[in-house]
Amino acid sequence: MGEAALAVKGLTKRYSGRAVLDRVDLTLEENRVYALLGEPGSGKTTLLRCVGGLCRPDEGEISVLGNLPRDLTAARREVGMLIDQPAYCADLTVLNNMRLQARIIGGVDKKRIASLMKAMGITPRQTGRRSAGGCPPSVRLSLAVALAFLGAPRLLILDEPYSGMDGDTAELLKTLLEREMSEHPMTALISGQFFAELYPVATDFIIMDRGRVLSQMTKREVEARLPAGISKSGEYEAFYRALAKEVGAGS
Amino acid sequence: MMNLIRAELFKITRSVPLLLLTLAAIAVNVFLSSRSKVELTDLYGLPELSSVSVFVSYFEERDMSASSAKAMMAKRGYLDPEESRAETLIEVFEDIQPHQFKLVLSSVKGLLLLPLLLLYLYILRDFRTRSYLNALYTGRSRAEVYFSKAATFISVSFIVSFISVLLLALSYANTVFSRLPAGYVWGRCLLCALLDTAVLAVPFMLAFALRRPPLVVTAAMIYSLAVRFSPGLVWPAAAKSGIELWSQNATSGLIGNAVLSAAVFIAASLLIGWLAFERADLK
Repeated sequence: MGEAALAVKGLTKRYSGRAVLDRVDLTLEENRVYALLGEPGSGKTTLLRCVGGLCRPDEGEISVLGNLPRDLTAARREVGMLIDQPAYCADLTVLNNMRLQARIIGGVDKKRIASLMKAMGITPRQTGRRSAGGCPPSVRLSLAVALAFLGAPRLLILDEPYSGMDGDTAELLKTLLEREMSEHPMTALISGQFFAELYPVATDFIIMDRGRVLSQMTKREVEARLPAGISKSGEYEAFYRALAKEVGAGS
Repeated sequence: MMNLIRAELFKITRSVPLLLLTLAAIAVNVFLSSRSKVELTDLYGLPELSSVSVFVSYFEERDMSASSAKAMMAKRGYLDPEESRAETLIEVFEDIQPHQFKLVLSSVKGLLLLPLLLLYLYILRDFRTRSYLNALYTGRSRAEVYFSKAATFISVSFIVSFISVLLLALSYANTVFSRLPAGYVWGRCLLCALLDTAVLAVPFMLAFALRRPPLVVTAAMIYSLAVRFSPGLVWPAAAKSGIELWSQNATSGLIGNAVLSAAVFIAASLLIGWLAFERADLK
């Protein structure tokens, strides 16, 4: 086993005295895709926000790509993130948003910008000279995903990217993820509410409920429990609800 | 840090609305300031003397000669009778323009709207669309994000203020630039822009301390009104409103104090904003 891409130990975050994260322990290995599953309010976004440095945990430690907490800022230069809502500059075109992010990161060439835009289905014909603020929400989401990939991150964090994403774009994201992972070492942590959305891309599953990590299992372990012959998303969700209940969700 | 500053400049130059609103901010500043030039005639106690034509008519209608007008203006301290070589009413009017220039510098009004426009342009839209998070997402520290924005905001505020004051000074070009030392005019324009920039540092601090656009705009509006109607409450605004600072005879101590007050005010504002931003949970 190589160095942990992300290690979280005893992470606790309270808002107004209520623990939104309750002593979360988590270890992500390199070159895997983790699906972070849980109902709304289970603590997924707060966990990702703590990892991303947007909020400070009350207790616990975070280690990113083997770096100690005091070096986290530097370590995050090898992380790509999309947390909560897409972040973009409304007045700039989609292309200029990519160029802006490339300037922030430094050392990103034009080919990579073009390649990522194409991979996420953002075409000049689609966006034209419109500002990002004037583009449909689906394009802004694709832009935010492309921005997260731009620096060829070793750790990619996507918070509910499938919310508001159509099936075709979800397929593009899957292809892009596979391509990037084949080109350079990368671990992905993708959160979502729906098992069916994350099942095709994930190699591992983490189930959260009420601020706690209930279970972390590999795809093989999940597949062993998956009933044969299910194909509809409703069936996958029914399976996931039963699985979550089995590991302690809602109890 | 330099990458972030370059990115901020890229954003400013590639955003058409941003450029248009910057020009609008300058235009609004100059317009409001030029309005104050007209209103300043109240300070003369002769409201009708707002332009050269009414100035000339005023004295002609009263059968007053240029020398009587000159004596009257000298008595009020608007011109130096020993230096003035005015022989016509038009020349007397030109000779009182440097005095009016001083009064204008001490009471430029454009600041009422400028902070809100600049805030909207450079900070609040970033909070609304969360674009400032993209720098944090790539491992830039909060300090880098904050101080690159501060450096850009303070620089842009200074440039916009300086251009505004310079355009205002140009409206006195015939008299001010030909009769006053260039160093004095440029120096006072720079000082005026520096004090305006110091005043604008507070809305920047408010933006990072409060972060919610409606809250920030309300607080900035209250602050702008305070600057406009009670400049004594705000250190650099108080320094700016004193006519002595804009006189050619201002002591170096007075000017030094004004520069120092501006620098301390900017530093203190940035520090408060940083302390709030450094500890905040960002959404």
